[in-house]
Amino acid sequence: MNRSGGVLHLVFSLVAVASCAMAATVQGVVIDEESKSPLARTRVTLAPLPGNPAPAVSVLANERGVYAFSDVQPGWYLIRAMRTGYATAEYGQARPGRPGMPFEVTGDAPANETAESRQIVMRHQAAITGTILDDNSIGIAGWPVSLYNARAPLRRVAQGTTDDRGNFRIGELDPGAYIVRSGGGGLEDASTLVPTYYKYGTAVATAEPVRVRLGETQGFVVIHTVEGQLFELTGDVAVPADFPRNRPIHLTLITDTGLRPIASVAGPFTAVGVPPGPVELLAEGEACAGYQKLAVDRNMFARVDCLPLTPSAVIGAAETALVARRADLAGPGPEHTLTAGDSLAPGHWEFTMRPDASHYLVGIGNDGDNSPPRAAIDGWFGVDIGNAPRLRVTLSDKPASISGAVTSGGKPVIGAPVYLERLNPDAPEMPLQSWSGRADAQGNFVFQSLASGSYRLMSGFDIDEEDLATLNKAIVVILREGDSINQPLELLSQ
Amino acid sequence: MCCARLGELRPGRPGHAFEVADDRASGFLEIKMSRLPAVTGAVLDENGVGMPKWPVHVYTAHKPIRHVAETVTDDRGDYRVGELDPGAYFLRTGSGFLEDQTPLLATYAKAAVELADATPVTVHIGETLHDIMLRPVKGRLLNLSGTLLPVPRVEATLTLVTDTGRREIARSGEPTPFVASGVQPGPVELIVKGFDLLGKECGSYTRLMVDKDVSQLRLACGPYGPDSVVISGAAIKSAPQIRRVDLDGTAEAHALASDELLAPGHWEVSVPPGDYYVSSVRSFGALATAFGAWWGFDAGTYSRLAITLSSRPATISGVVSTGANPVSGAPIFLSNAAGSQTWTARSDPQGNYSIGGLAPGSYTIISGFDLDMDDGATLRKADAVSASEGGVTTHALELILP
Repeated sequence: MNRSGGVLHLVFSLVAVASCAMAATVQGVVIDEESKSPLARTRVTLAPLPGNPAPAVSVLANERGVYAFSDVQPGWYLIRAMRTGYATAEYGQARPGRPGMPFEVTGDAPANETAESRQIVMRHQAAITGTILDDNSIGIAGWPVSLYNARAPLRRVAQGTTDDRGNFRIGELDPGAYIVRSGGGGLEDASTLVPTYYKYGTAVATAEPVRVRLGETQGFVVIHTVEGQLFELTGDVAVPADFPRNRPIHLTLITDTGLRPIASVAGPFTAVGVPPGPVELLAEGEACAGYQKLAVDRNMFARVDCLPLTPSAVIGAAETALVARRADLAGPGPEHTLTAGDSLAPGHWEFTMRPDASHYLVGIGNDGDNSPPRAAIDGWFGVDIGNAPRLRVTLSDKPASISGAVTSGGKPVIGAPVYLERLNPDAPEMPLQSWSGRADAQGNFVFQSLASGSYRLMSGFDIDEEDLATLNKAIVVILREGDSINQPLELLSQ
Repeated sequence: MCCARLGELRPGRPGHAFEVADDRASGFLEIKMSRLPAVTGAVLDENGVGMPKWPVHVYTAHKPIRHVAETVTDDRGDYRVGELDPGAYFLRTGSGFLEDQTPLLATYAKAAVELADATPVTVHIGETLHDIMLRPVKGRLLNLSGTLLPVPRVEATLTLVTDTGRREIARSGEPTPFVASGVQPGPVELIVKGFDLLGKECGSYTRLMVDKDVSQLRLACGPYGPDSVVISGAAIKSAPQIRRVDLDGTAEAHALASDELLAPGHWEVSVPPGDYYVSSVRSFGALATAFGAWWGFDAGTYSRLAITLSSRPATISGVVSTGANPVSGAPIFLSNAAGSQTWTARSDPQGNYSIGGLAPGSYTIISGFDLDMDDGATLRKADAVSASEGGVTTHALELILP
């Protein structure tokens, strides 16, 4: 093993003693693209290409940003680095955000490993900064700001609060388009502000999306807030007569600008300053839960019945667990795997599952609901559930699959990144679901468990998703139920 | 945003008085306001890379050193603390653990663990001080462990308070072992709070200086009160003000109710100004420490507070003039010799001023519309006056011109 590089020599000479003849050491350094500083304690994963039986291994880089994997079995691998506030990076990527280059670890000749040879360059995630202004263009301090993704369904994905000068910053964003909106509330006098979109207006149709690229801070997103009426929501949280008294029941008011607790006991409640638009009310007690959704356009009254909860039943797929996340107006909640006996609070939820290769997921919905199922977005099915949910999972044992070889100039491309998108017949520019994978050491790829439909397939190391010319070079494949299609792919080059 | 007054020479200075007279047309008056100061900077790791979501704390740099603000760094490790009063502050990171569980100590700017090595920053009105970099130092954080002793069928909570925040570390009516790890060496408060069987509050307060792991602490939720507060020497017009001071901050002051039970902990008391001065405050006979108008004491299971007032306070009075002309509405600044307490007043339309209710001793006094009271040069222009028990010191003041 030939090692070079001053400090690293010391660090890894110990590793070399222990390594056996057939295994190699893979090492390198993680640095920040902007400052070139080493990124200490970054999580680095050595991931095998498909077909390589070695397990994926993760380590933390040391305080100098140096990582090392010892006893690596021969085969083809990728190295991936993950760190808070940075985009996931891979070794050998054409530019930040792009897939990395696989490399081979050989058993016989020790590779010429130096820290420089496996340098991973990381770039910050994107951020949006701006100011919330009052009617005299003075910044409003401590005012809430919400961020939504600018594609259907509109989802609240991040939030922030302005500082003492009315400025805000929302970071750790994936590249893409976002809609920025100020919150509603009262000012020092009796006047009230309604939630206002960037650049102008209170209707989402007038909102202007803010587009951010990786590593970019998009500044000067200035919102001139609009005065308008906020409403008062009064109501009653009702519990069954035999329900123990004086037990806490937490009532939460949820809108698309956030959530706030409004009561902690059963009985009458009042919430003031509610912006016009959809509102959810969720009551949660030790042994009961209640949910109500309404559209507020005036002062209103709402009754929420807190009723006993029954653990959710799943019909149709006993062997594979469902993954659930709550999808409130305020944004999607954390994902968790549903286990037997779990109770879910009533409201809007989303579910998905990953069936084995001999099935594909047709749909998830309420048992007995014969209306046509809602289309899945990214594989998630939205379901409104009550206090005793019975979820029906429909699987088909006739999944389709696509496989093939990626070539460039007639030669197989080892570890080529392959992208598959299921097209939305109603909106071709917005796929229903996307997958990405890698070709194996022979250049072969495979996607299984697919539903019937039309798909777009392409492969490349430097594909710009916003470049329509590249997307037009993708191959469109129509799959019917049970199809098993072989589709050769030519590597797209920039 | 800061306060502002009509006719200020510059933001933060006292405004000019004006006369409303019957025979003149009313004026339209413009008041200019300035932003309160702010400090910005970053928390950096050993390679100069910003550390996201790391806590930053702000302390006053004059005694008593108090935790006054805190924030968290953004996704790039940058922070901003706004709405500060003008003055001097210490900036400090919170303590915590890195991704590889390396402990980091709470660290002052610039790279100081001890307060004595910290460098204060001074901010002025309207100013944002940039690039105050904080580099947390690796070190050993400590463990505190022990037992929260049981009170049958009582829910008590144990809270650990340090000068970088607080966290609940145990809650129960059963005997509950507790372990608090990652504790910064330095002062620590352990506060127990709960309710006993009759619904009465119980609690306890322990203050420690930790420099190594501490085990076998035994903390209980005990009954407390009644407290007694005896005020002698003079009658006061309204109840004393009281406020709780924990390591992580000072609570709002409130009027001390006659039947109020003071929970175990550190408190400060202040007597509203009047025709008297506070000659001493004693807790169980021991003299309380004074910071300005506030007297600090520890409340235990119960408190015995004796506030002695003197009905023979000193008064300083006189005329503010410039040349031979008296100045109406002139601002007057009076400080005691220690500089721990200040009084402000305005002269009347004839230029007369009077500040009473003073303890005997030495004072400095100055009058002007554009004085920077943080500037040593200003303080050197102040006059020294001495006040005696029950006496009136007459002192003519010459207005300091800008």
